[in-house]
Order: sequence, then C-alpha cells, then structure tokens
Amino acid sequence: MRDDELLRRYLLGGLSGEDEALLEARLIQDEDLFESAEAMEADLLDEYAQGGLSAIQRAHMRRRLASSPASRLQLSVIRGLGAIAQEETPDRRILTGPWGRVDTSRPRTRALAAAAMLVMGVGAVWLALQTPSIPEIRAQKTAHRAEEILPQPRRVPPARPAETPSPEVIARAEPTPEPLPTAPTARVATTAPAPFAFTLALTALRGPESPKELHVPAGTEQVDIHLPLSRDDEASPSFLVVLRNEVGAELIRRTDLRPVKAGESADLVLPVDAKLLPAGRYSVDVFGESEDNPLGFPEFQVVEP
Amino acid sequence: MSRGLTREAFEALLALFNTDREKAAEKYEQIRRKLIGVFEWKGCSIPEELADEVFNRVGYKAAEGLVIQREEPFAYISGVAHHVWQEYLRRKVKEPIPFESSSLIPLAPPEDEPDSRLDHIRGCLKLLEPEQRSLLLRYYVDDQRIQSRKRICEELDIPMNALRIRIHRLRKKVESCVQEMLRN
Repeated sequence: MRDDELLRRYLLGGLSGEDEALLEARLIQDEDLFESAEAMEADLLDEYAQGGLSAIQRAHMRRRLASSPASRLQLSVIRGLGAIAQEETPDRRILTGPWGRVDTSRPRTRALAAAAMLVMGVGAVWLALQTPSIPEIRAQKTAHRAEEILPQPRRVPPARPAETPSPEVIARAEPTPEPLPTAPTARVATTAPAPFAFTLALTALRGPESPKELHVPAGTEQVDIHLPLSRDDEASPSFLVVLRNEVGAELIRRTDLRPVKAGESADLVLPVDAKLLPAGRYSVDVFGESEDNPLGFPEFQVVEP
Repeated sequence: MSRGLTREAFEALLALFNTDREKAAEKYEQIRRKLIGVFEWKGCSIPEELADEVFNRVGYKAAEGLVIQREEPFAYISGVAHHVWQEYLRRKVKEPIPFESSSLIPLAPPEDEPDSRLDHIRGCLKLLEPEQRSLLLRYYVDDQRIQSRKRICEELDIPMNALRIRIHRLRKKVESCVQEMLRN
C-alpha cells in the first residue's frame, strides 16, 4: 500500500491495531512521513468541509474535531481559504439581490437556474395554452355583447390541476382576464407564522450528500431549531450550543441554553433570526454545559425558497 | 498521571537522543511534537499530557540504566506511547477526563459582532509571496478539486504528494498568523 493511502486510512481510523502501531513508530521516526500525514489531515478536513467522506469517516473526523481545538482552527482556516478563493475567482459571477449572494459559476447554482428556466418554460407553454388567441378574444367579445343582449349561462374555466407547477406559473397565470379560482396554493403555504420550528436530531450521522434540508417559509422572522435530548443528556442543567455557517464562522453561541420540556422528553430550542440563515450549509455544535462534553454536531442545509 | 521528570531522568532521556545536549534538546522537541500529533489523531483530548507521560516513563527507565541503541529510540518510545494510550483509554472508560478547551479557540464574539476569522485569514495571506498566495487559493478554489489539483501538479511538474506538502507549509504560515491574531 502506498504511503499516502496508508496515511489516509490511518487518519480515518481504518487501520488494524498492528498496522496502526507500525505506522505510528514510523511517524515518530520519519520527519517527512509525519509532514505528509499533517498535509493529508488537512486534505481530509477539506474533504469534510466540502461534504465529502462517508458517514462513518465523517463521524471519525467529528470526534477528532470535538477533542482538538487545533483541528477546529485548521478546519476554520481551510474553510476560510475556500471562501476567499471563491470570491477571487475571475470567472465567478455573483448575483446580489434580496436572496443574498449567489455564485452563478457554481455547478449547483447552474443546475438550479436550468431547472428554474425549465419550469418557467413549461409555465409559459401552459399559459399559452390557457390564454385565448386574438381571434378567440374577438370572438369572446362578440359573444359577450351577445350575452349583454341575451344572458347566457356563464362558462366556468377548467379547474387548476391540484399540483401547481410552481409559484412562477401562478404569477404568470394571474393576469389572465378571467382569474382562476383560488385553490389552497403554495402562495398560502409560503407565508408561515414566525417562529418556524425545525427539528434536528443530535445523534443522526448524516451522509455527505444529505444533511437535513430546511426550507424557511417566506415571511418567517425566526427559526426555532429544536434539538431533542436523550434521557441521559437531560440531566445537564444547561447546554452550550454554537451555530456555525459553512465556513465555520460562529453565528450564535449560547452558553446557557436550558432544556424545554415537550411531553415526556425535552428539547433544546435555539432561536435564530431567519436573516442569519441564507441558503447554505450550517452546523450546530452541542455540548453539555461546556466543550468538555460534546453531545453532537448535526448539520443542515438551508434551501433557497 | 504520574510524577514529573527529575533532573537526572531528564538528562538520561536527552542522552538517549544525542551526546550533544543542544541537538538532543532539538530532537526531544521534535519527538514531543510528533507524539502530540499522533495522540491527537487518535482522538485524545489531552495529547500534551500523554506525550509528557511517555517522556517521563522513558526518562526514568533511562535513568535506571535502560540501554537503547542511540539510532533507534523511536521504536521504544512508540511502544511506551502505545501503553500510555491504552491506559488512557481504560481510565477514560472509568471516569470522564476533563480537558482544557485550550486557548487556541478564543471566546466567540457577541452575537451581533461578525466573526473576525475571515478578516484575519485575509490579512495573514498578505504574509505570503503573491505566487504563493495564488497557489494556495487555487488549491482551494474549485468545486472540481481533484481535477483542478491535477492540473496544478501538471503545471508545476510535481506529484500530488509534493503539492499537498507545499500547500500544507503555506497554510501553516497562515494558520500560525491567524492563531497569533486570535490570541491578541
């Protein structure tokens, strides 16, 4: 096995006890190998920050991060370098607006834009099919005049399909001369009363591609992040909770969070101003009373509305 | 854990590394740094304490007349380190070991104050030569990092491991600078 593969396995906790002991003896002796291991660790932290590695490997990295302030600083610097590098990329295009800053050069953003264009295209076709042509309008006007003279039973437009294609389609459909009957639509669903409750399991180890998604409804002023506690953890009188963004920067640190009883169980509830949660990845570091007692580091992804 | 090193034991320990006291002290620091690194990679929350415990035991053995080939103290040291680690694990099961959350990470700023780490990183990047800064940022720039890094290797005509180490050295400079700024 090549040294870099050996080091990678070692740093991800994947070596047997004997191989581990042999490698550690070499690491103490060989300065170059030790430096390679340090460099490899930084690359693994980068992969971790990018959402890579398997769930088990991520859990291993989390344990390391929980016990090593130096690794946390390293991760923070790596994330920061990534953020600065993205800012300074010449062909990067940033769209700024009420939605925040969106990097249009990122593949994910491009894919979202393509999907949005597709939805708009489908919506436009649907609208074109629903809107009468000019000769039809003329014919309708003539018929309308006839109705004034001789009232006819009113023609009811077809009901909208139960699954509305998208809010964009609704917006385009509204200016039609004959307003469609208002069904319980997404428009109603997007305005939710604040605070908006979002539950995040402390114990769940999430895969690299699937942190829990948070859709913040339009108009939400506050998101309450609920962190259900296990029976053992409830005993702690207070908790330390830190909310971080994707570059590891602290957004909120609460040192005195107390459990809130919810039936037989108890939750920690972290109130977060919705403005602090633009689209992106976040993590919540949860400790019992102090950083000596890490309880979990769940992640979530805020999805663009 | 255990008693600290006596002067006699410390001298015996240094003598294991080199007859020249200054060179031996350098070696001591080098090995200590590595022991700390290894204990950290194993998930230990008190790596310095365990590294010192390893030296304590090796030092006392040396003072008692332990003979180790001067070129090969590493295997012995790593063996002792393994025992110290096993004991730590057993102790950890019995009683949670408190650890210092360290001064490396400062207290968080108040909630309405932005985190200053990004600004520190920007400032510390100025310590690097322009081409070094550019290389470091290129390493972290792309979503398609594997391909992007392969391109850098081709341009510089170096293998991936060499690039990784080059980047590691540059990033360490930035990290030390950020750490210093956070302390201040």
